[in-house]
Amino acid sequence: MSETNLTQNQNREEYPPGDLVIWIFIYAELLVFGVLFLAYAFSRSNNLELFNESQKLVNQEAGALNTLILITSSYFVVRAVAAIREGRAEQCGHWLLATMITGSGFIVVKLYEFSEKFGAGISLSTNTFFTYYLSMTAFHFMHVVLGLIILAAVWFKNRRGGYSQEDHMGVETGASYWHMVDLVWIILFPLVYVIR
Amino acid sequence: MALTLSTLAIGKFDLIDSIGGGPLVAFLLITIFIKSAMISEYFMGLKVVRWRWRMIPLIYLIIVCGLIWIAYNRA
Repeated sequence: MSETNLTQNQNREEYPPGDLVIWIFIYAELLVFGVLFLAYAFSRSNNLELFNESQKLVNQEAGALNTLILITSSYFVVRAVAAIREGRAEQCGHWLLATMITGSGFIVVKLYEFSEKFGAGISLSTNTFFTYYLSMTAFHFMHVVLGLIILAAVWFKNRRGGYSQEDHMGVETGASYWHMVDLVWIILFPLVYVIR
Repeated sequence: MALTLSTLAIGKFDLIDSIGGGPLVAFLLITIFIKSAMISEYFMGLKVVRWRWRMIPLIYLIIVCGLIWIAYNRA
């Protein structure tokens, strides 16, 4: 290893931001979603016509809108972490609130999408495509709800002065979880809504 | 944002059906990799962390996107 690379490696942080336990949880969650993605992809290859026909019924605009919403909310939570690292707790609170508002937008769009499907008589038992579509998006939806609960808890603690420039691991932990939720959706949207 | 809108355009205008799947699906999988890698590197802050942590999501993305590509071509 060259001297420059060695110095760069020594300057790197030993652990990712936030509590180490959340990272083990994040990687475990990525593994679970990864298995679901691959199960979907290989099931599709065995039922191509059924999957392509059923996929025409999903709302691609809603999926794309939710991608933009999650990317925006992820950016907001990055700003929240940056603010608390500089000791600006009030700004951190504002950015966390912005994250939760945009994250709630995802919930609204997704509930609309679910009601649209259930209203059309589509359910888990309609066919294999909709079993995957509904279970994967509902599973992800539950992660978004959990992410919002975590961010709300972080926001309340921050409001009570619980975080500072020196001690802000909770904000980083909540932010890391929220990014994971975003990352999973970035794979899920093209895979289930677009690729045919 | 632009990559997401291009993904929507591919789906909305049925470009996969009209142009042919292979190259567009490859493009979509590359956009998945780029966007997800940006989230893990910059948003999650793994860019400044030791390699063993940084590589996990990148290897994950390569494996998942690669196997999706294999499944797509198997169909």
